[in-house]
Formats: sequence, structure tokens, C-alpha cells
Amino acid sequence: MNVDLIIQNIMNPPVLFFLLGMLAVFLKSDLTIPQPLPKLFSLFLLISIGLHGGYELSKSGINMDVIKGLFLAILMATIVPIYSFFILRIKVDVYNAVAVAATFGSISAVTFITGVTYLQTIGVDYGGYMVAAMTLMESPAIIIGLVLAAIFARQDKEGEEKQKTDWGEILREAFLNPSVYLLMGALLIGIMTGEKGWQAMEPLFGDLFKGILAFFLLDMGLVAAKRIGDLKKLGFFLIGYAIIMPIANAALAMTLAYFFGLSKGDAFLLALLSASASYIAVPAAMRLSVPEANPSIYLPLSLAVTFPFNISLGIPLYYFLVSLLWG
Amino acid sequence: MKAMKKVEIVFEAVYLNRIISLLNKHKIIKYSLIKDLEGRGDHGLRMNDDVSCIGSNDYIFTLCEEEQYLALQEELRSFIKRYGGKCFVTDTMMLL
Repeated sequence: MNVDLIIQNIMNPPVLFFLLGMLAVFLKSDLTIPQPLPKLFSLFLLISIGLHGGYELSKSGINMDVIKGLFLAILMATIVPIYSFFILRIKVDVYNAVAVAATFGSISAVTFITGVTYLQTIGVDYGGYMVAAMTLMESPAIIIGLVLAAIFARQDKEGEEKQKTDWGEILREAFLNPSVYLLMGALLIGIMTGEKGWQAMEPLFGDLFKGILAFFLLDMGLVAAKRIGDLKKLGFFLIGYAIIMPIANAALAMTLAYFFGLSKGDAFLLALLSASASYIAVPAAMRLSVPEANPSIYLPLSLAVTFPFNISLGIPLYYFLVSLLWG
Repeated sequence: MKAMKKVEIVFEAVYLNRIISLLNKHKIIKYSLIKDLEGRGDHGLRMNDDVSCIGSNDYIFTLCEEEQYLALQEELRSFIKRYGGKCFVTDTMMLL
């Protein structure tokens, strides 16, 4: 892989702020960001990416490329948690395998946003519908995780008192969690208001985007680094899984994208989404529905291994692999 | 003054709706809630600095009649056994 690609990605201010946040923890600096702010920044980023995606989609309309891209997004979000579960079962119990598989079957919006920023920096186009693809990829893993738990955990728990699953609560968490709700809402507003709407919102949601992303990634750096201590207990298999599986998922996604004729930018984003792991929506849903799974396994894997890997080395690696196929 | 039971529960923030439903089921509809607690417990350091609510705890307290508490007790025990948390119950007197 070309070292220039890695340097080009790391020399992006938001990525450098992420590393700065991690360094603050390693150096035992007292740097903290007042808590409501990162939550506000994450809402800002979701609205911004949703509005911009909606605006782009209003320009391109629904065509065959959009349908193919959305189909591949749903396909990846469905198959990744299934095969991940069986791979994890080699070493991990049913509950933790379900939770880790669901976490890695879903996506990280911030990873996607960092990938979009990377494409903008190097001047590669992507379709606005990829925001819709990202939204569609958040929820299936939660449902599949619950189905896997229902099938395989039952065998493990014979004789024990059965716990009722509150499907209403779980489905609400899967499809109406704040990220999915806000992204979908902003996307629809972007489609409805088109160019005029985007022009009106651009000074806030366009011009400030990179600055807010840098601030948010600074906080993510702090959070990710604090979780690194939890990795000591996890062992080689799980830590290796959190790096190798995203690369394998990305490779599968870009192969499918190649055969379906997606554009280079869209293929890269699909690969990045398939490689990313959730650390907000799915861990919360898993805590609700599979309380037997240990959150100090699935959360640090996603937050302290896969997320930093993807935004530092993963993005240039996936772009390199996509470039090999697309030229 | 009236003799009451004071029930205090510390639990993971994701279970807030379930705790409230459990209390409501036993006609305990009034409560006070403190969100995003920090501290150290069986699961190590709990910090309110996470983007997901997995890492943070909430605290709820309520006053109820002894009969209500007795009806609630077993379900609360199984809840904590399954989802974790701590519950403290004290006899108290309510002035007003």
C-alpha cells in the first residue's frame, strides 16, 4: 500500500485531533470536554450528513445505481452478523458472540463521516444516497442478533426460566434510535428542500462541518484511549478479530460493489461501512436484549480497536484496495 | 407523620424505561431521578463520558407504602439479578 495514502489520511486535521485526544489520555493530561458538547456535536454531524445526502439525492434522483447501492448495503448488513457469529463461536460463548457479531454487523456513522471527508479531500465523488445506505445498515444487525440469540441461546439455557423478549422495545431501539431517526429525518428534509434548502443551511451545516468533526473526534480519541485498558482481558482472538474482520468485510463489500458496477467513491464508502462497527446504537440494544453478554467485551473491541484502526489505517487501506479494482 | 419505605435503585442508564415500568406496574408512579452518575462499583469505574449510554448509571428513588414495596420486592430482586444494579430499602417517615 502506498504510504502517501496513509499520510494523506492522517494529516487530515480531524484525524490528527483524534490522535491528539488519545495522546492526552496516554500522557495523563487532564483534558476533558464538557459532556453535553460531544452529544451536541454528534447530533450536528448526523444532521449535517443527512441534509447533504438528501440534497445530493434530490439532484441525482432514484436511479439503478441508487437501487443497487441500497441493495448491497442491506445485503452486507444482513450477512456480516450471521457469518461473524459462527466465526466468533469458535472461541466465544453464545451471548457474547451474538453481541459482538451484531456490533460488527452494524455501522459507525462517525467512521463514515471521516471517510466522506477523506473523499472530499482527495476529490473523489460519491452518491448522496450512501447516507441512506448507511442508515439502512444500522438496524438489521440488531434484529439478526436477537434472532441468533433466540435460536442458539435457547439450546444453552434449557431448564432455566425463560425471559420474555420485549420486541416492541427492541424494534423501537433498532429503528427509532436517535441516530437512525435523525439521519433519516435530515435525509428526507434534504430531499424535500433540495438546493434551496441546502443553500440556506450550508453556513451552519456545511461550512462548520470539518471543525465540528475535529472537535468530536478529539472527544472520541479520549473515549477510545480510556477503553484500551479493557482490552488486556480480551485475548488475542478477539483483538485480532476486531482488526481482521473489518478488512475481510470491506474486501467482500468492494468485490460485490465491483460486480454490481458501483462507482469508486460509493464502493469505498460501502466497504468502509461494512468494515465499521457500532459503538452507540447496537451496544445499547444488546444491553437491553442480551444482558448476559459482557459490554466490556463488545464495546472496547468496537471503540478502542476497530474505530481507531478504521479512521487511521483502514480508510487509506480500503481506498488503496478500491483503487486496485477501479483504477 | 406517616411511615413509608424509601426505595433507592442504582442501575445502568439503558434500563431506565424498564425500571419505571416496573415501578408503575406496582402503582408507584412518583419518583426522583438523577441521571449520569459516576462512581466505582462491581463493574469497575463508571464514567459519564461515553458516547453510548452503556457506561453510565442512573439513580432513582421513590417512597411507597409497605404493601406496595412487598409486592414489588421479588420482581425488583429478579430485575437486579438479571440486569445488575443495586437497591437499598429503608424505613422512613414522611412529614408531608
